[in-house]
Amino acid sequence: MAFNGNKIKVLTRKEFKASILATVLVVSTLMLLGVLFVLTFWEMDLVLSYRFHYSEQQRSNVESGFLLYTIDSTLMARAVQDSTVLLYEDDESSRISINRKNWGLYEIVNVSSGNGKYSSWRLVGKAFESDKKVSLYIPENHLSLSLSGMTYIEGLINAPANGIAYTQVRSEFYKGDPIEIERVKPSESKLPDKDEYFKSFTENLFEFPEETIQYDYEKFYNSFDNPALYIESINYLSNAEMAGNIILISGEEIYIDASNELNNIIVIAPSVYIEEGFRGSIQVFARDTIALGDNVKLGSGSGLFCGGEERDKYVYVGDNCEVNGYVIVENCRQRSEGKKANYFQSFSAKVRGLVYVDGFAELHGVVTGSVYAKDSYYFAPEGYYTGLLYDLTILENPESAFPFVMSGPYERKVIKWLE
Amino acid sequence: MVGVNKNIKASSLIECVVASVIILVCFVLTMDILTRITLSEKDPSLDINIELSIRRCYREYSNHVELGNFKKQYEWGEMEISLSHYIERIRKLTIKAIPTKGIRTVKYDYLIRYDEEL
Repeated sequence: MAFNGNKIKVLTRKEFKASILATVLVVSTLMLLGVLFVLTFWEMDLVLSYRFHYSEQQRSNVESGFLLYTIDSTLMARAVQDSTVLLYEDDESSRISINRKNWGLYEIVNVSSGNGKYSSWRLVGKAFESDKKVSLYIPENHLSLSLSGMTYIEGLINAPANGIAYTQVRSEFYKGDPIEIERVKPSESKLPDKDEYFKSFTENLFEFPEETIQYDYEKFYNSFDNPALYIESINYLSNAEMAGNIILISGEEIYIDASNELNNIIVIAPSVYIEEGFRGSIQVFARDTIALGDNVKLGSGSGLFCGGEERDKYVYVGDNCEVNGYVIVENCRQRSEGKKANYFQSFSAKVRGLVYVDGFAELHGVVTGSVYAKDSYYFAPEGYYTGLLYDLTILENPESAFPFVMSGPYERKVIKWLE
Repeated sequence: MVGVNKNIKASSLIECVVASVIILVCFVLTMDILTRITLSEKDPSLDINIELSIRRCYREYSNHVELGNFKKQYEWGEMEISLSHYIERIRKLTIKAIPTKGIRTVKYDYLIRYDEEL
């Protein structure tokens, strides 16, 4: 191709001319922006300070939202269609979003700030076990409630009209102080009614959705923002790591060994056995049997439920076990002969929360919270003692949280932070 | 040839005047802002003191029995506290910090639980 001198001339003419007015304006604007940029850096502490105060207020709004949710029972009804609540009328930035769903016998609640930047999931229970607010409830059975050994009970007691007797087991007498008469009130003929959610949840316990996934030895974590993940368990669960919005299900019994790391999940199976030394935080729902080996520690927000259709039920809590949550046994088959305990709590076990046994309960150790037991027994080698509490300590604790089991007005309480 | 003559040249009087005015305005604005910033006293501990005072105030008034408006004086300025009924056992606590120096006023709103038996 031949060299074309005219083309070079044209390109040279396209040079950016500094002399035109537009160029002067652009350069001036850029200079101005530069100056503003410098000034912003100069006053950066002011910017950061404003941002900090805004963040603090948004965090406070989330906390205020939880407080409002736990105390104001009409809050969700008042929340507008998108579940948002305006905390302070004159401040649109105080709008928060509240979402809740049931999680076993608790609730999980999410409160997030208006801009969605600050958000928290928390496990919520009840502040009191029922409107009775008692430490011990034994329904009227036309017997007296007998205490023996190192038995100690704080708080109010609802006991049969025949009152409390102090007795001996073998050669061991009652070693505590007599219970003040003002603390004892007569009980009704049966345990308090259960609430509607509890009934519907426990009746449909084994109705699983069609979409489930098979357990394949992987680690599972599912945020509570997502729908619940149903995982079909194998019979012997070992080295599993699961946390969050997960429901572990099985049509057969499950054995959970101590190597598992399970947190905040739900386990549903006909029978569940937990190996000695296991630590975690789970709600277990079984139809027949739940057994905790020695030294099992279930953290806050845990629970053991054995119920469903009427048949033989048995929950065993071994030595040095800790259950922070609830133990519920119901719909036990009535036997007039060959009586045996539906719930056994060993002498060194601790339950913080609710113990509710609609059957034969053999209770020892410590319960911090409330005990509701249809019949209290002590099954000794030489035979069984009816209506007896032996070596049991029941303590009051205003910080206890309880599951949604019994009907009646209630107040909520945050159990723990989830995410 | 007529079209070429319509180009605005850098040497024209109008362009020089406009450019001078823009640069002058930028200069005046910059000098004014810089003078204000550099002459104002900065105390880095002021924000920390205010935040600590707000937290102390929150703890103090969370269990305060009487509702109403209160004022507290501090070295750095003044605090206005308003405690009012919200619903049931919940109160609204508003804390407003007004520093003597500077233009920053900090205001927080809280909902707090109040039980009669406390």
